[in-house]
Amino acid sequence: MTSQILLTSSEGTEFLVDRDIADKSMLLKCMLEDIGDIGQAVPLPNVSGPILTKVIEYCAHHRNDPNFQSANDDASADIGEWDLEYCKVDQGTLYELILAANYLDIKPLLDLTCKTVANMIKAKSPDEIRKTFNITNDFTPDEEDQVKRENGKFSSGSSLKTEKNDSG
Amino acid sequence: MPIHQSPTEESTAQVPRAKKQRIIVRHEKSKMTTQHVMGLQHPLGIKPLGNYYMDATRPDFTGACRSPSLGRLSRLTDEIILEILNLLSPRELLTLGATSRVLYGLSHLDDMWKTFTIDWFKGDWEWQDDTWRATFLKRSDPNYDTSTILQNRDPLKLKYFYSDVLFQPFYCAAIGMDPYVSVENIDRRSNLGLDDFIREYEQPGKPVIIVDGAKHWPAMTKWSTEHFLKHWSDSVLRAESVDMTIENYFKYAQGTKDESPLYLFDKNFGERCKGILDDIEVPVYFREDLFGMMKEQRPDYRWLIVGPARSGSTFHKDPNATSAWNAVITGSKKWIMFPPHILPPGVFTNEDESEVTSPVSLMEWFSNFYASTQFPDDPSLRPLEGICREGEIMFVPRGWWHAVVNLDDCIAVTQNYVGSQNLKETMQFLYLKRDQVSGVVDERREGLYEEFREAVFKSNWTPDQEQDKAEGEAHDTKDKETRDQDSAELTADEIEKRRERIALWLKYEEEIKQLSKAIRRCRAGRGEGGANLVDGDDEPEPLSFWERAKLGADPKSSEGEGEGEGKGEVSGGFSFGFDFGEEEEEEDKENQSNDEC
Repeated sequence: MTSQILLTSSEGTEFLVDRDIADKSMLLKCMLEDIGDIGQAVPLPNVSGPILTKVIEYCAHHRNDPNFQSANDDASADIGEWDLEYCKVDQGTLYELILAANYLDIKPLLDLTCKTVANMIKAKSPDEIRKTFNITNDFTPDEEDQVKRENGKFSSGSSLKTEKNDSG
Repeated sequence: MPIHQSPTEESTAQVPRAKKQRIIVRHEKSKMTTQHVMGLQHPLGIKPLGNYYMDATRPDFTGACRSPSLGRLSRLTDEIILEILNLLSPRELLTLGATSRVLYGLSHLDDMWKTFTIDWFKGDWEWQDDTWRATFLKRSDPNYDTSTILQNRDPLKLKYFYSDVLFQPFYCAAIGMDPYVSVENIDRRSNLGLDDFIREYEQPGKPVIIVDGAKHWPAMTKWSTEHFLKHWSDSVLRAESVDMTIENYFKYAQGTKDESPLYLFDKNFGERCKGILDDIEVPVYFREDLFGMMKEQRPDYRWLIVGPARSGSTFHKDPNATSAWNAVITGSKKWIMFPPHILPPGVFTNEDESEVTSPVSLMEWFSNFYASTQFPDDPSLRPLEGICREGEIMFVPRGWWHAVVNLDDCIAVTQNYVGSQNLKETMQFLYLKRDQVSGVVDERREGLYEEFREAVFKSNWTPDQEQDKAEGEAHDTKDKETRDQDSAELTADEIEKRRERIALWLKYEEEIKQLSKAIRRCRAGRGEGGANLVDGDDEPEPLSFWERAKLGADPKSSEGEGEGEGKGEVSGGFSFGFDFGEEEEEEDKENQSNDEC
């Protein structure tokens, strides 16, 4: 019978979680190793109920992955199907997940969510990026020209080699 | 004392150094006033986070620009945003930098562009003033006009962007070493006799600066940036993870504003720079170098070190428990050292010191931790500090923690060696910590002890041969027959010395084997498994606490004779630690298990 621990979200909601799932969080793992089983719930004031639910869902799904810790180390590797679906959430939720993964020290989840954001940036023009993230263009028109000149031919995509092993 | 200047066109011109007598300048109080610090301007106008609170009280403050400039990404911290930026390609990063002012600032963090440049081009690039970004873009497109970057600095200054993540590296680099160089408590000696050196410094393991150590080297009058560029411009040398021509490296070194500049540290310079070995010699104090018996098979042992101000090495112990000497030819180095059993603040290590992490850069270490080393009321914990100047040689005893920073453009030569005074430590290291052995290819680590042993027992080596080697392998020019004759005809004196050496080896070896057995017994007694008692093992008397202290082992961590858990990544063979605090606790445990054995 696997042991369980009690987690409390910022609103006070309690979550009963199997120990091996909780151990995916290095923060919780080290804490529990140090102080053993405490009778009370572990408070997580930085993480809301809905986000904690999502985090637990991720850890539970990957509970038996043998290479969990290095799961998303490779920046250029594709994201798995389940993980892709998992990340189909609104941006607000996505950023809260990043912060939660960072706080709870769940590296594969942090890597996954960061990769997701990076993918939202790729293959877009500056205007499209601004639209995606609701970024204010705070350059003056002159400044915008200057930046374009500074970036040269690169950001328009023509001369910068895409593969670092290309010759030239 | 050399005043730190950021590398500019002028400092290039001042490099041909007059090789006249150096006078030790009295250290004045640091000129780093609060005024000065507050006047430091990040090239893009970025300010540290703390300034936000002060600026927000001003009537003309219109609010930080972070939120609108980052949009929904503003929910994330700068550190996290940089993690995401690290996943982008150069082109994507440039595109992102064109979307808003804050993203322009974030995408300019030069460390990212350093990574791109080295990943894509290794050492094949030409430094462009004054950033890695410019260097990368120029290397990618030879027609790129790097002047636009510099022109844009002022107009695109980021008003109201506060970021510690971006300000910190700039700040550490700009502050320089001035606040940290006034303490000098390492002995400085001249006219030091060999016997005195051994008795006062080498045997007890105490650092010393030998101020006349390299005074007479040809290098002292010959070497300079110009000299290197004239004679060895195209020689390819190693700078950290890349190989570069000397010409390219100097271009980088003179133009960089990096907080932690790339450091040239090459072990093959003897072969790659024709004639360079004629300009230096092994000082008389260090000629007994027993690793020399292994000849070409010896572990890496000598390096040419070149670097601009702020380049250097973070805290470490030298490999294989060897001792070292470090001679400065041009420039100067700040040294800070702790004895083997005192871990420097800000440095973390595992039990047997096979892994050492220093999470901050050298400049950041000084900024964050230096002050805490200067306890006024506990003098025994204070580090040894000193500045090694042109012509001077630093002696680094085995096992000492040390960090070194170049205070200005610096060219130096260093060697690691094994003398009689540290023979036992090295033997013990090679015997008990085989997976931490370094300086040889991986396959040889496990058996280096035996290789060394064989070399010592068979060798006809004498100290003079080592001197020949330093003078450019002169004796190799003799024909084989003559050499064979030479080696067959050792003088009686040399034969006696060799006999003594072998006797010493056997004595140490016996002690080390006893220690190894004691360790294994204790581990078995504590139920740590792995090592089983070998049948027919003698039951030697357990070594006393102080005997073990003298041998310098950390019993709870040893792997015995090459068994035990292999540590994952090992770098540089750091290990020769002995933590008194932990040891006492360990001693109690072992006393208990000894009773049970």
